Amino acid sequence: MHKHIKTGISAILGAALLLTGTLMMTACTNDPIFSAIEQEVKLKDPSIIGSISSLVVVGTDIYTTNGRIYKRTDGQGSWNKVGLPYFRCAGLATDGTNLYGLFQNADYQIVSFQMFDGSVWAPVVSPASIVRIASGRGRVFGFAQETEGFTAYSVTALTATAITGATALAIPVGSAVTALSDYFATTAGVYDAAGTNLTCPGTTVIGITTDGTDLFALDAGSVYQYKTGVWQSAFNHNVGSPTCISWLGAGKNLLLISGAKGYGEVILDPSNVMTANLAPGASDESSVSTTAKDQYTNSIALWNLTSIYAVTSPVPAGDGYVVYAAISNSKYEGLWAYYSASRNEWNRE
Amino acid sequence: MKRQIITLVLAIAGLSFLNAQTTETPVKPDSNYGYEPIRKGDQFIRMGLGIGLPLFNGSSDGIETKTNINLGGTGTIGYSRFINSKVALGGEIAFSFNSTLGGNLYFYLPITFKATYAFVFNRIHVPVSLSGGFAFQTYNTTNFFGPIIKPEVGAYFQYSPDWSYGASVGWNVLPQFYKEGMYNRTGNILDVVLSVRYHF
Repeated sequence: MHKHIKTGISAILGAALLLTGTLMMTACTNDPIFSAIEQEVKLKDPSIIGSISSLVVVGTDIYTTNGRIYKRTDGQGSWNKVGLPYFRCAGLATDGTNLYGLFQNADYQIVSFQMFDGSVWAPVVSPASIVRIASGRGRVFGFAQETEGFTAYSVTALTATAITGATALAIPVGSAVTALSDYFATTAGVYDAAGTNLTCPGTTVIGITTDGTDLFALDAGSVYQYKTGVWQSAFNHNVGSPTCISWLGAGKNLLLISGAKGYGEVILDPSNVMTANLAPGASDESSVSTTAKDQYTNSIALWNLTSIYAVTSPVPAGDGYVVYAAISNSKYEGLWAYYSASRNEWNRE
Repeated sequence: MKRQIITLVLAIAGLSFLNAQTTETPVKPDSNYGYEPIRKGDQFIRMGLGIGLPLFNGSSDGIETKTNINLGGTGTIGYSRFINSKVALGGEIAFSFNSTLGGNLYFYLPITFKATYAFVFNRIHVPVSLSGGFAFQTYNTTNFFGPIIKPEVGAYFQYSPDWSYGASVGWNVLPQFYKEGMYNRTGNILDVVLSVRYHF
């Protein structure tokens, strides 16, 4: 019996020795696992699922659409459905006062372009071929698909007027509203509201945004800044398969660029010059707090973001900003958000 | 006289034969008819399915009971051979997974060396084991290859010479050490496994 116990102890000591040796060799540079899981949060039940095509702010209301239209007042509380004049919504835009929507029938054909004043929808007098819209300053841009390309329209109230010379355009990808003017972008370039091509050096433009003064155009590899009428040197953004660009103010002064795996950030210095790339949560300059870095890394950073929206007003009391992201993922698809103070975590809306 | 001589010869021959019989009688070996439930060289393969219950994470700050790891599942298969009637050495591989609070999956695959001391109470076997080895671990896009140690106790009913079945409880200790010490954790996950063992 004693002999057996002795043998057993020897075997166990051998195993312990093996383990000790292993422990000494395995200090690791990989990303953490258990500590990252500790940072996970319980996911909310989704309030807006599916493919999010637009999110616009109209006064104190935020509207978004996944085919249905949802509205949230003062940037907080529930997302409430807005009645649709047609089967589904294909896109939203705003002139700063009213909401505009493109609508499809059950066959997903665009059949109507309408304006919503907060209570009722009214049809816009416009060509039936308008298939895309984008927000402008006191107007929205409408893009009619013609045989030779897209034609841009300026839509004010319920009337669409063709922008002179803005014909045979490439595919529209967005717009930007500065303090003084408004611009739209196609894959081929950036244009002012008069339809003048600003000859953006980007190869295939993906998106456009503004910090209120300068324009920032995004292509697959770089961001191009349009400052005082001149395009500045390209800045490499390091975001794989970028999909959208948005500017975050509220003391951060960051460009947020969504992509195939989460999003990246570009820091703007006080002179609004692009200075460095930043991973969300990597420092206090980021849109995500450093304490939420692991939670970001193990949620949003894993998925394809089709768009990203930085909203500084309206936001819940106490929050400086809210970052909304449209997730394209079979399991987590829908609208997610991060609140700068009241909810330091990425979670479903 | 002749008759007396013949009688004497036969008598001597008989005595010699008797004497020879006495000296050449083989000694019967001692036979041991005592029952040996386990003998040196016995081997068995164990297969089990069970649950994995996360207990806590250890860190430099103490114990964190909010692991955010949910109850999971585990499957094991292993081989052991008795080096005497009490101690078996072998190895085991397990496939274990746990979902997490955020809807992700933590998966670990331990490959361990196993030493077992077996207590026997009639047809009930109570193996007490200690396993040590490595575990491949994955979580989202993160992979980790680290050590694992697992004390375990079980109880098995010897249904037949070939088969026994029972249950075991094992404590998986999974240290994860990083260059940045703030991320160091030691995961503790309790396995409860129903198993069958094939003896050969």
